[in-house]
Amino acid sequence: MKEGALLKILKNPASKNEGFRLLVDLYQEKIYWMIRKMVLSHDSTNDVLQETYIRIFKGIEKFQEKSKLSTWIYRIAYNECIRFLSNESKLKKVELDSNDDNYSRKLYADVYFDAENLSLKFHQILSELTLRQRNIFNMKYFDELKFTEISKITGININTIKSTYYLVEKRIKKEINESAL
Amino acid sequence: MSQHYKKLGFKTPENYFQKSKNQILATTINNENKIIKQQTNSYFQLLVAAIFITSLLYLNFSNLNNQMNDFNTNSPIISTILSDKEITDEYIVDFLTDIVVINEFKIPK
Repeated sequence: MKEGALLKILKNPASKNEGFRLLVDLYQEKIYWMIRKMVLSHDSTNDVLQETYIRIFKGIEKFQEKSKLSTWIYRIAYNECIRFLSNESKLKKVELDSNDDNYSRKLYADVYFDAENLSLKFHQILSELTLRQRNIFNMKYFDELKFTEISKITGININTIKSTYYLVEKRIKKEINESAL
Repeated sequence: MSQHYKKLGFKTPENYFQKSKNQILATTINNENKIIKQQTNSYFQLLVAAIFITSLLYLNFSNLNNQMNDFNTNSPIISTILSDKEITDEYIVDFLTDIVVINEFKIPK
């Protein structure tokens, strides 16, 4: 279903609920995985996902269509993740440019994490990145979002995003190649 | 895309997405229906309260109007106004004596 058609259904009070069901079907998994890569544990992801959908449901009438519906949804999910991480670290504002010292602890504490050799190496590299670098890499590499979309979702300048991504990608390739030798 | 997550080692509980969908719909759509029902109830309660208060005010004002219209023409002040007589102490004493006599007067059985 095209976004325009879905929006029409969502903005009509008579069909809003049906439209919301379709929206959940369409984006649930994508949003879940995006959140999961940021907050790591399944249970926390589930909580953030619920909050995200509540915000989407309440705010859909106010959506002004200045961006794609999917970008707007990802932005809400991203903001909910930042809010969650801030609460978790008991900081008013989460530090995007610092490393997450608890990355590995959170990963191994989750019963829904199955570590294999490659994933361990991958996570080791990801844990050494700052939150900003990690988010940009994840959104581009795993979620396959465009640079312009990532810029709109995170509010970070597009050139910064591009340079950050290429730098991180180069570093990951190098480290994986070295560990394979 | 799901292959990437396998590489990352992320898993989800069985039937997670279906259960999660039901949970999301329960906390959004179903919750809103409850809120609408509660709002309808509270509108009804407000309407009943408004009717009650309006009828109370109406009854109160109509009684007040009756009281204002049913003034006692025997009152010394009012009767003097009506008859253009001068209000004197003597007139008032006469009026009060009349009232006392009328009230105290008992017809024997």
